[in-house]
Amino acid sequence: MQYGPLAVNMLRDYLNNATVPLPIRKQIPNMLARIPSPHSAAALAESLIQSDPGMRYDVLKALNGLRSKEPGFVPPRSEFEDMLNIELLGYYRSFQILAAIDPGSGGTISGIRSRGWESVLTRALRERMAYELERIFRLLALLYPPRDIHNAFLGFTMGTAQRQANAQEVLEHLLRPDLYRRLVIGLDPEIPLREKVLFAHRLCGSSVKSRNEALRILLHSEDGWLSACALYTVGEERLTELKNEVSLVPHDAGPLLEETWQWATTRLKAAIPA
Amino acid sequence: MLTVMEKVAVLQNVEAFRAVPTQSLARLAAIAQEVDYAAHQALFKDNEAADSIFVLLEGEVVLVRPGREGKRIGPGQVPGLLAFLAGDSEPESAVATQPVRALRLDQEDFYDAMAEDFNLTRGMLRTVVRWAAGTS
Repeated sequence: MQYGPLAVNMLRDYLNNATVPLPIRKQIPNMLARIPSPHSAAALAESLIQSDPGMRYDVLKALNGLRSKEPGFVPPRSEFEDMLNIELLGYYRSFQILAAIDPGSGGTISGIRSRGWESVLTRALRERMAYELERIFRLLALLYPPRDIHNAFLGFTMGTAQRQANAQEVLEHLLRPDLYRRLVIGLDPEIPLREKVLFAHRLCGSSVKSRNEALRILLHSEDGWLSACALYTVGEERLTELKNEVSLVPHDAGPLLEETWQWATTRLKAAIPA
Repeated sequence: MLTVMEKVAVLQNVEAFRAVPTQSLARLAAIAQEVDYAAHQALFKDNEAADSIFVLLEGEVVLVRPGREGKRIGPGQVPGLLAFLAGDSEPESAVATQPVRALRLDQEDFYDAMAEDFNLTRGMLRTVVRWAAGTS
């Protein structure tokens, strides 16, 4: 190893230091993956809990890369299982929100290519769910044979109905039954939306009862892009019943949020009779 | 003037950008300028450098290539995209047949956005591959 454990420790500390700018931290997982050792793999595994989803993705990608080059360096660890449970919860939460925002979407991520018009918000939610699903499969690839998991991922996200069925069969064979069930209920096109929503409710311990509730959640989301999309939807549809919620949105986080907030607020004001 | 989100709402329904994630479209929207053309005015002329593309919002444009019948296109279409991506000169002229409103994207800004955002680059690559394969 060229850099030694000292460099790995330093990189791990920077990676987990929230005061270091994100663009710098985002480069560290790839750097750690280029120092292949059990030590760098452990440093990455210990850094999986990140509030920024993009950062979590970068850490996972680095771990996947390390595992493919040196499988022995990345043994299955309890951190992967824990993070898998967290990501699955997040995925079903997004599912609840998408189903409330656009029941016609079926709560699936795979409509981008096949559907015609859809709102910016629905599409943004699908994209976020696609990223969540990719992180879930990347975690699975750290616990199970990576090649099989990768093929299953492609089958679910890009494949025909036949490839999806094959992917499902592979996962059924590989995963523990409870994990298989939790994962596949959201993905199986044969399972009706109502059943999926009920499952998500049980798993998350709460429901999203209405479209406006889903919009409220998104307006206050830490994800600035989803928040901007929700603001746009409220303004576009002149949902005056959400006027107070809009006024509470912290809109100074960037020019896009600020501009969209101003636009939505103006439209809501104009929609309320004097 | 359209806001960035209003431009995203337009761009996400443009075939050429369907493989680009919405958040990356916001990047394009931020650099897209609204432009207006009067009837008979040229958006670009053949043999000129293809250094801009136009996403048509309103009106109609005719694409004129010497020796061929003109092709009429309207809202949601993007004349000049392939030459723009290839860095070629325009193979045809685009002339407004009626008042046209469009979003103009300049090449240098577009390339900067692609350099900064891999999801944008990947989306555009998918578009080009699908076009090449004839599956779009």
